[in-house]
Amino acid sequence: MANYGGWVGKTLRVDLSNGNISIENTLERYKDYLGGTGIGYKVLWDEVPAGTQPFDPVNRIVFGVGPLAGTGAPCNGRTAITTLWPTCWPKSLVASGHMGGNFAAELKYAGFDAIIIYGKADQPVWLCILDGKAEIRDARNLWGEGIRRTSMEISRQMGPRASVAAIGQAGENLVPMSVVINSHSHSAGGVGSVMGSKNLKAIGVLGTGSVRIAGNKEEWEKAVNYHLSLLGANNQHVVPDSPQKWSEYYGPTRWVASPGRRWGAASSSIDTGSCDPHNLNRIAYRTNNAAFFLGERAWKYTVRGNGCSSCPIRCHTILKVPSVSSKYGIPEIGQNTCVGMLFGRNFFRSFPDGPKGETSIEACMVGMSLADDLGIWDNYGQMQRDFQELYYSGILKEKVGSKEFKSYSWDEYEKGSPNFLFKLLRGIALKRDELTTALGMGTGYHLERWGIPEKDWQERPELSYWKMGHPRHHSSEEAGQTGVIINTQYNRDSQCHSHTNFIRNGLPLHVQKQIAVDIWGSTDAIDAMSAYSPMNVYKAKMAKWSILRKELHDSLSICNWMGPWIASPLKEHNYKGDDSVESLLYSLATGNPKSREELDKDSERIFVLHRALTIRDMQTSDMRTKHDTFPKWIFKDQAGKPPFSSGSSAMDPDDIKLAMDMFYSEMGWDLETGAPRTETYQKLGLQDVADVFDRNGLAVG
Amino acid sequence: MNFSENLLATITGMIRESSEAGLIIPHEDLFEALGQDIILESDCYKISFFEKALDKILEENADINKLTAKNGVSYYYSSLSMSDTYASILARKHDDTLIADIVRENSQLYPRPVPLSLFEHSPFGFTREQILDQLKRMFGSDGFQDILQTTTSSGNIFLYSSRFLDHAYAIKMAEWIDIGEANNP
Repeated sequence: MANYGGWVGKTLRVDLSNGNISIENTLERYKDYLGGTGIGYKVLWDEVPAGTQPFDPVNRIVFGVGPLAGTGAPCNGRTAITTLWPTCWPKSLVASGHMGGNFAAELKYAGFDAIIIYGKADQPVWLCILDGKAEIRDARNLWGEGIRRTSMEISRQMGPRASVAAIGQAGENLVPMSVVINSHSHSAGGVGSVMGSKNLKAIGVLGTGSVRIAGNKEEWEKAVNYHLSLLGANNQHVVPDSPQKWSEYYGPTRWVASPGRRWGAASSSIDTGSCDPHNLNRIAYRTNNAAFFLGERAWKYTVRGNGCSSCPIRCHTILKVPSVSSKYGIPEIGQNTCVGMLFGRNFFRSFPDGPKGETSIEACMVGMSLADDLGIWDNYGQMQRDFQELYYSGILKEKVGSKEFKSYSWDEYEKGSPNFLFKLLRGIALKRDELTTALGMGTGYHLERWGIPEKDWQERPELSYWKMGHPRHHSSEEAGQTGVIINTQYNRDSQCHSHTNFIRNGLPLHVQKQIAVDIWGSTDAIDAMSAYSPMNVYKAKMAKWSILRKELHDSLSICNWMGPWIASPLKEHNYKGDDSVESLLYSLATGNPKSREELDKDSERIFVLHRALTIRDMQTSDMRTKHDTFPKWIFKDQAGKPPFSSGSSAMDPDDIKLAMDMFYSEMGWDLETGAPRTETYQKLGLQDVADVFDRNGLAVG
Repeated sequence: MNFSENLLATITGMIRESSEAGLIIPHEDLFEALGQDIILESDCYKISFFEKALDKILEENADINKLTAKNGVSYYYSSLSMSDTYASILARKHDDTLIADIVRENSQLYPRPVPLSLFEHSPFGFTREQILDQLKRMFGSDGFQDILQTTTSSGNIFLYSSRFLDHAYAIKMAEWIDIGEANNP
C-alpha cells in the first residue's frame, strides 16, 4: 500500500468486555471513507446488528478523525463520535456528535486515526493512549467525579499536554442528554451515556509524533496560507458587524471586532481593532461570541478567545466574571460558545435587569460551570425550550406531583435567579426526581413518558422542535426549502452549516447570488431570507451540496461550523472563496490527488451509507413517509402571511413535496420512497449494502 | 502647468497616511498643510495651482479618490486602505440626512432594516439622545416619509425605508437580527 501522508495509518480497537486491545490498518479498511464519520458509519454498518440498543455492549462508539486532523490545515480540530443515538426517538438510530478542542490532533500525534470501542468493562475504567500504545486503567476513584476533576487527575498522571475526553455524572448515570468534553469546553452532545454504559469514564491521549505531509512543503504552506486568506470570522461571516475603514460591506455578523471594542478582562486590556482581512495575524481578534450572544456588556468580562488546534477563529470566548465566585461559589472564569455559553440563561424567560443584563451573564456562567462539569447536553437548546413550555403551560406541575413541585423554588425561577440552576442541573445528572429524569431523557422520550403527543410540539414554531426527538438546525426560517430538505435527512438535529454559513455571511444578496451561480448554477438557488420563491432545481443542488460538504468536513476533520469557504472577505476576489480548497489540502496532505468532484463522490458514499444504516435499522425503505418528515409549523408564518410573500417564512405543502422530489432526483434516489436505488449503491462502491438489501427485501429499484 | 515630483508625492502621501489612520482629509486641511510648499513652487495663483495638482494626482493615482459633501467640502482618501463605503460615511458625518441615507442604503442593498444601536458605534458615534433627536426631526418631515421604524419583541427599534422594503419584511428581518440570530446559533 502506498505510503500516504495525512493519515497516521492505525486504528485502535478496544473491547472493554475482555480488555483486548488491538490495532488495525486504517487505510486497508477505511480509506474509501476518509475518516471521522466515514469510519464511524462503516464500523456501525459492519459490526453493529440491526436492533441493537445504544447501551448494549455490542454497540460501537467510534472516535474518528480524518487525514487533515493534526496538520496545519486551518480549522482541523474536530473529532467525530459516531454511535447509536440514545435520544433518537422512538428508536435509536445512527448519528454523530462532534467535539473540537485538541483531542483530534493529539490522537494523531499519539499514532491513531480512530478508536473503536465496544463491550462493557466490569468496573469503571479510563483509556490511556500514549504514543502508539493503549492501556485500560482503573477509574473507580474518578467515578462520581465531575469532568473538571477527572480531566485534571488524568492530566496529572499523563502530563499537562494530554488531551482528556471525559464524561461527568450525567454520562455515568446513563442520562441520554449527556456529553463528552475535552479541552475544558469542547463537547460532543448525546454520547456521554454511551460511554457511561460501557463503564468508560474518559480517554486520555498524548503523543509526541506528527502527521506527515506527503506533498511539497512549500506548496503545503502556500495552500494553508491561501486557505487562511479566505477565512472570515466564526461561521465564515465575511463582513464586519459595523463599518470599518477597509470594508465595503457590513452587517449583523459574528465579525464583531472594531476599534474601541476591547477584551476588558485581559491582564492588559486589548483593543480588537480594525481587522483588515489581509492581516492573517489578526484573525483571532475578529470573533467574540460572548459579545455576539450576550451583548456589549460582555466585552468588559472578556479575557480572550479560545478554540481548537490549528484554528485561528477562536469561537469559544473566555469570560472572567468575578461576582459569580462570591455569589454562587463557582469559578470566576468560564468559557464556551453558542448554545454551550447560553446553557444556563436559556432556562429563564426573563431576568430582573433585562435579557442582556448582569444576571443574564451570571446565569450563563452558572450554566456553563455546572453543565460542563456534570456533562449535560441541551440538544441545541431544546431542553431549555421544553422546560419553559412545560413549566409555563402547567404541564410540569401536573406531571411531577405536588411534593416534588414544591421542592423547587419557582419564585426564584420566575425572578430569573441563577441559583435555581443548581438543583435542576445536578438533578438531571443524578436523575434525582421525576422532572430531572424526564428532562434528561431527551424530548421524544420525555414527551412519551408524560403522555404528550409529539405532534403537539410539531405545531409550535416557537418550540423549534423538528422530529425524532430533536430540533430544527438552520431550516426554513433562514434557508427556505433548502433548510427543510437538510433537516429531514438526519437522525438528530442536522448540524449542517454549509448552507447557513453562506446565507448569513453578511454580504448583500446580489453578491451572494453571483457566488451562487458559480456553485449551484443559478442565482435562483438562494432567496432573501423570509422572501422565498417557489422550489427550483438549484435549491435541490444547494441542499445536496450542503449535506455532502458537511459529511466531507466531518470525515476530513475540518470544521463544518466554520466552512465551507465559498465566500471570502476579499473584495479583490469579488468576495468569492474556493469550493475546492478541501481537495487542495487533502491532496497535498495525503499525496493521493483528488479533485473536488472525486472528494464529493467520497462524501456522497459516506452520506449514502448513513442513509443505508437508517433504512436497515428502521427496517423500511420508505424514508419519504417514515423518516424524511417535517413539522407542521413550517407551513405557518407567525404573522399569518402566506407562503412566497415578502416577510413570510411559511412553506407550501405542495412545494415541499416538489422539493423532496427534486432532492431525491439530484441524489439518484427513488422518488416514491426516498431510498437510494441499487444502482446508486453500486455506483458509489457500496455493493455490499446493495447485496444486504437485496437479501432482506429493502432494495429499491 | 508643471508640478514637482516632490509636491505631488507629498500630497499623495498625506492622503494615503490619513486614510491609513482611518480619516478622510478635507481639501482645506491639505491646502493649509502644504501652503509653504506651494508658495515655493508658484507664489501666484496658488489655489488654482493646488487644484490642478490635485486633479493630476486623481488622474494618475487610481487609489486616490475625491468626495464632495452636501456642504460643498471636498475630501480625499486612498482606497488602498479605506473603502468607498467608509469614506462616504465620514464625509456625511455632519449631514442631517446621514441616518436616513444609511437606512436607505441598507434597505436597498442588502436588503435589511438597521438597529438604532448601529449609529451609536464607530464610525457614527452618536449618543442615543442625538439619534432620537434626529429621528424626531425626521419622522413626518418632507423628504423623510419613507423612513419608518419597527420595534422588536425585545423592545429594540429598527429603521427601514419603505422605498425598498415592505413593512412585513422589515418586521420579520428586525426580529431575526435582534433575536432570531442568537437563538439559532
